[in-house]
Amino acid sequence: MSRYFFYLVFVNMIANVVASVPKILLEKKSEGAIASMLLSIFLGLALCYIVARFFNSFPGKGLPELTQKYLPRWFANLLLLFIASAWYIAGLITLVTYTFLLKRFLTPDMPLVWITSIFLLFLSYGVLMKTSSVLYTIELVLLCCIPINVLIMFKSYVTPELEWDFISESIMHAYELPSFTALSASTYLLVGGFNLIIFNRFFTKKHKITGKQILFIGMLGIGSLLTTYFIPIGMNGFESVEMIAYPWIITADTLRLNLGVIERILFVFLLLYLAISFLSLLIHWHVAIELYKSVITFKRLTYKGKNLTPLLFIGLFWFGSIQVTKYLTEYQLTLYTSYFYNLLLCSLIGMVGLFWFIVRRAKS
Amino acid sequence: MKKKVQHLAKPFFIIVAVMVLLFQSGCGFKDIDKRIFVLSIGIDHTKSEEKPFRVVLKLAVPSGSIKQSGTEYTYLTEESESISTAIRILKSQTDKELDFGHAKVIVFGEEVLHHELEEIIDFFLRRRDIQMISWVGVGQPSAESVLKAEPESEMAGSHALFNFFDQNGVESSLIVTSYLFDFRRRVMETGIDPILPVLNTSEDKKRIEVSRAIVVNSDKKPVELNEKQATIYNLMGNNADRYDVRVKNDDLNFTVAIDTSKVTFDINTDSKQKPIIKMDIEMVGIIQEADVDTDSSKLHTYSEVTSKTVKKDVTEVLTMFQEEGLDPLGFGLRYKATRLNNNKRYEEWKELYPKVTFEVNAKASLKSTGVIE
Repeated sequence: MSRYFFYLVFVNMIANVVASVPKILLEKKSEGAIASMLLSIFLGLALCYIVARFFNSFPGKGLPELTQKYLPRWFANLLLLFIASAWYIAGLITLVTYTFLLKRFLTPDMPLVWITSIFLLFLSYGVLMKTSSVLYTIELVLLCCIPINVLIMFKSYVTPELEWDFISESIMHAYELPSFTALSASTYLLVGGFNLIIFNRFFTKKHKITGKQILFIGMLGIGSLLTTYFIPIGMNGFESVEMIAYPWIITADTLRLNLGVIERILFVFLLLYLAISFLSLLIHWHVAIELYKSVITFKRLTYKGKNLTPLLFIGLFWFGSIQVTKYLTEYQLTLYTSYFYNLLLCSLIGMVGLFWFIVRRAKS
Repeated sequence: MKKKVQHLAKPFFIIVAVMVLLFQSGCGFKDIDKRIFVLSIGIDHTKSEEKPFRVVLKLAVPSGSIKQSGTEYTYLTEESESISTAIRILKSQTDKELDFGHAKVIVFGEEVLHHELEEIIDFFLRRRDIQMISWVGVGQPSAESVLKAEPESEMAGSHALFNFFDQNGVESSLIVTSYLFDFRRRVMETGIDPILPVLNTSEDKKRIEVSRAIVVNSDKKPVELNEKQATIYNLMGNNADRYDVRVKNDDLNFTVAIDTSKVTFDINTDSKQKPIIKMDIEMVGIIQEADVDTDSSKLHTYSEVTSKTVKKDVTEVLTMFQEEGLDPLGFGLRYKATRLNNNKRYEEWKELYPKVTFEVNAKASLKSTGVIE
């Protein structure tokens, strides 16, 4: 596979920390979080493999082209609208979570709407870029972020305050039956490959995903899942860890770079995740806007040869995000996020059925 | 001409976009000269019911030149029903914004420990700007006196209280350190008890001494550890590598300086009536002081004597922990962490702990008798 495919997968893996995945997993810590994580690795890798194999056989084609070719027009459009909305919500969750984070930790005196607007301002430009430019942006930002990310992860494992007994105490709950919520939240880490539904347009050459590549993704997936779940427990204890609103932010604050440029890792961490959550948002909303575009294009809305329909969607995105940010509380955010992950997992499995159907139609 | 205007459109929009940033100037950001930095926070308990908390803040006074004015601190004190109301009142007593971002030491008065610890640390955990890596300690005779003490060795720009706990300044095997997050998890979790260093000030407030510690046991009763017990706790918790052992044998008295040590323990509950905690201590060091001529060829004998002394000391401290029901090392946690969860592991442990016998294996190896024999 092209290296850009891996970037799509990685961004989802790293950005989950800012989304509510750790919070959801920690809430299920004595209701089978560990078993769910184990299951999710297999499920996530299977999904990743299927989506990559499917799009490998249609180089240069996104999902809209395929569905509109092989499915009845009305059904294809309905389906695409549904998928687009899912991707929009995925981005929205990152946006709202990070806005809340900024409000809490970096800019407490700024109104929420302002923070959201500044985010949206840059995003509006980003999501309207060409698919290839989006991928180049991702590569550049990700390459700048990964060293710092690795440093923080490394630091969190070697810090002497990390109490392995707490981690071991949480492992003693491994025999519990998996819970669906925890399963879907942890599978979310590994489903970054599904962004291919639009980004496959960029991969015009014939690619093939190999077993080794899946293994590589699997290793990283296991690593990030374990870090996501166990490090907050090791630093904050097991019995009361779910009482923390932002487990990973507090965990980052418990790390101390004694002679570093900045002693409190928290601020480095927040800025790092500002970049990463921006990437995640960029990917999700780029997919969403391309999907919407493929279904709805107003021919009349043309100005100097450019179609302005995407701007209309951007306007709707703005409206939706600002309303949601104003409406939601932190508790609701986690709750709805977990519902969303549950629904997403079901839809992704449904999508595999769709892939199978398209492949059959294409062959005949 | 029309074409030219169109060409200008893009730069024009960019300039407008940049100009908009000018309006962004004051997002509630206050300049550094409008802020005053809190260095340490002290919480004392007053006897009154209505206003139980006495909050003391130590502030660094900004000065133009350190050479001329030296170090200057100022203090704010207020009694109130809760910590945050006290701080709100204190805010009206300064002309600058109180900035807690650099507050790195939190000192509790001893009286505070007799109350609900969860309630008291709640404020510090809930606030975003208090560092989780700030150090927590107990002040004697009160938090206020510790904060107001200004040791003579204190220089401008280096707060003495920070230096005690930061491993850059003094490194002593007597000083127990506890970060706020560590204190939080010890308070919240079962099977491991919170331990705090005791900061003691002299009458004239020119000296601070950190050589003892307080452990709050699971019945919320604070128990003080003396110097020796604090040192041995540090040794057992692998907090300090350095450790001095005074060996008193019949004809041979010497002091050993340990420079590397490793302590591990495990719990054996094969028989429910006689559970065993096995502790292995490995130490490497040299002889630091002796009142007789030492003989290099006898290092092996010296090592054995040292091991025996350490074994005796450690067993004494462990027995004291057991008698008082203290568990700062997390034996209960280890018990829970090595057995499959059945939701009543901690209750089991509470029954087992008083019955435990300790098996301490100390192995000291002395490498040298120092520079002389």
